[in-house]
Amino acid sequence: MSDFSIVEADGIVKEFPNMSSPVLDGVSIDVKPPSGSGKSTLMNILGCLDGPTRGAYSLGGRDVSTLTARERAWVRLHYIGFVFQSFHLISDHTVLENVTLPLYYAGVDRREREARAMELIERVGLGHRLGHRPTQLSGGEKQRVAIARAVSGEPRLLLADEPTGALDTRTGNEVMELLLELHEARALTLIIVTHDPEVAEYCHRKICLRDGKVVSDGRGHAENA
Amino acid sequence: MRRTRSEVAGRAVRTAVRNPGRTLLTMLGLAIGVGAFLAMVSFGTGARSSVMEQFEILGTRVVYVRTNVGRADFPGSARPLTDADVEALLRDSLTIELVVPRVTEVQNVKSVFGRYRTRVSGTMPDFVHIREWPMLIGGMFDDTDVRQRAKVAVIGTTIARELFGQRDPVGQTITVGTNLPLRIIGVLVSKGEQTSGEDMDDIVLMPATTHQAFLGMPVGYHDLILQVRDLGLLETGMVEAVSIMRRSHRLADIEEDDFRMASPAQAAELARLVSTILAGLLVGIAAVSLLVGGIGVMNIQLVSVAERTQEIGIRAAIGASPNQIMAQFLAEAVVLSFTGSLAGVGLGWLTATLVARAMSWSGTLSLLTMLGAAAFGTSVGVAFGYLPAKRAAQLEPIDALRHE
Repeated sequence: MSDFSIVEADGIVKEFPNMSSPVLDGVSIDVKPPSGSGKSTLMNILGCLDGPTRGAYSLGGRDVSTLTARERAWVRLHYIGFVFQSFHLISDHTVLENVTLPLYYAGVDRREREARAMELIERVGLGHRLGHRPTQLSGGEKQRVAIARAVSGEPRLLLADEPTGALDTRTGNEVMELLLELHEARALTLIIVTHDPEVAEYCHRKICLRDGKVVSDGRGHAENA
Repeated sequence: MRRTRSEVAGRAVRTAVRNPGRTLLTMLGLAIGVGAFLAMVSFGTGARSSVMEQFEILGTRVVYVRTNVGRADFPGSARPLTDADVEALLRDSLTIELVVPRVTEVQNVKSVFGRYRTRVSGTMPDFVHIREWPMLIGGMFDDTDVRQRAKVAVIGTTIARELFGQRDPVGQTITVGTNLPLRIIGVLVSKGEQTSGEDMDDIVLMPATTHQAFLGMPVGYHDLILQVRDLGLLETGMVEAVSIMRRSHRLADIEEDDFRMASPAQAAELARLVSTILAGLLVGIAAVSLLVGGIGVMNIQLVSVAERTQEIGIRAAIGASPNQIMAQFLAEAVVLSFTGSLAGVGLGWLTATLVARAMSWSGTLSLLTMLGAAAFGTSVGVAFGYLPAKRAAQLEPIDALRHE
């Protein structure tokens, strides 16, 4: 698997804060920074929310570092799923509506997207919560909905920014298990940003950032792979 | 894509319903704007058509030549209007097809049932044709009556009511002045009151010859009513009439006209111009209120975009394109302004109908006008919703996501 790289970032630089990253050719890697190390910037660039000032970034073999805002939106829709620390569910949408959103924007018709979303919601164990709103869910449940939403558009890259940051240890572990399960079942490249060493232990490859620069890059010794 | 569009609309409706107070207030702004706009358009139309109706009462192809005899504001000595003038006009004019002279005096008129002070006119049978004035009952006197100075009269409905109450006046006798008995042969249909308050039905007509023989005609005719062959010939007819009248009165070039000319059509044209200008002003003011309604939509959409910045960030992160985000907010503006405009059409229609009823105008709002106003209101709302939607679409996803 390591000879097939979904994510390739070569010397990307975002000015202020300055940072660079070597080739990221992992199946799943972990960017492990203390605060202020540039992880959000890296996430934004890897997630096509922002472009780098310099350097090349290609996703699925396609250079995406010089795209327009509109093209980046298209890439996000079709290639990338996001999981955020604070879930970022749309509060006046139900669980089902939140999960169908990427499919809605992709123009999938209602019946099909609801069928696909329901399957995913079952998969994350929330089949009984379809019509609930985010405020009626626990933190762990919200993150499961967020994960279901992140993968509903069948992306090739899943970016998780401190996915367990707002959860207790047990719930956090469950969320990590779910992410890894999806990663394996769907051949999904998973990049997790965290400063929690326990979370980092789940990953195959760890890249440490400090002050916007990569300071180490090594294979992890996760057994889950 | 059509399916998606209806979904976008559906979602916009849901957003509007979720915040009913704000939605209603925003729609109210536009509704008042559209309503005021429609009401003003209708007032304008109503006022204009009522001017036209007044003008039709006085005759459409008609010119009045009035005597200056006995008028204090005329400095020279004016010649009276005579049968010679009537003959000259009919003989020399190419455009004038009818000339009806009239002598009018205020007289006491009495029947066995009552008395009334009214205008008594001596005129010709064509009077009712030139004034387009049909008979309610009986008939107009004819040329034989004129020739024979017949003691007959045709009266208006006011006189019929005042002197005969509910009785049939035809065949009855009235006495004009002290000792001129006239047999009533017809009653004119009611023309009601003019805008000036003048009662058109307060009238007694007799043959001009009868008037001259029994009441005298010391200053000649008071006016000659001219009818041109075609409305388009009105101006020409007036010019022609002036020159024929000057010749008939043997006026030297340096002398002023010793008669006056007036045409209801010209007066109506002036009144119509004035009412058109007024209507334009009113519509302008209403357009301003519509504009204010549009600004209300913009305001509320800007607030909405600001409040939902993080939601916009989430949608953008998921992969919504700038166009899709823009479509969402534009759809909300469309829903707000379309519903508001429809309410405004209802409001405007109601106002227009009530006012039209109060002023006894006929229907003043066409379906097309109402549809137009609704479309106009909607486009105003959408135009003002564009800026907030554009702003939402241009938000940087990262900044929007971080927004609390």
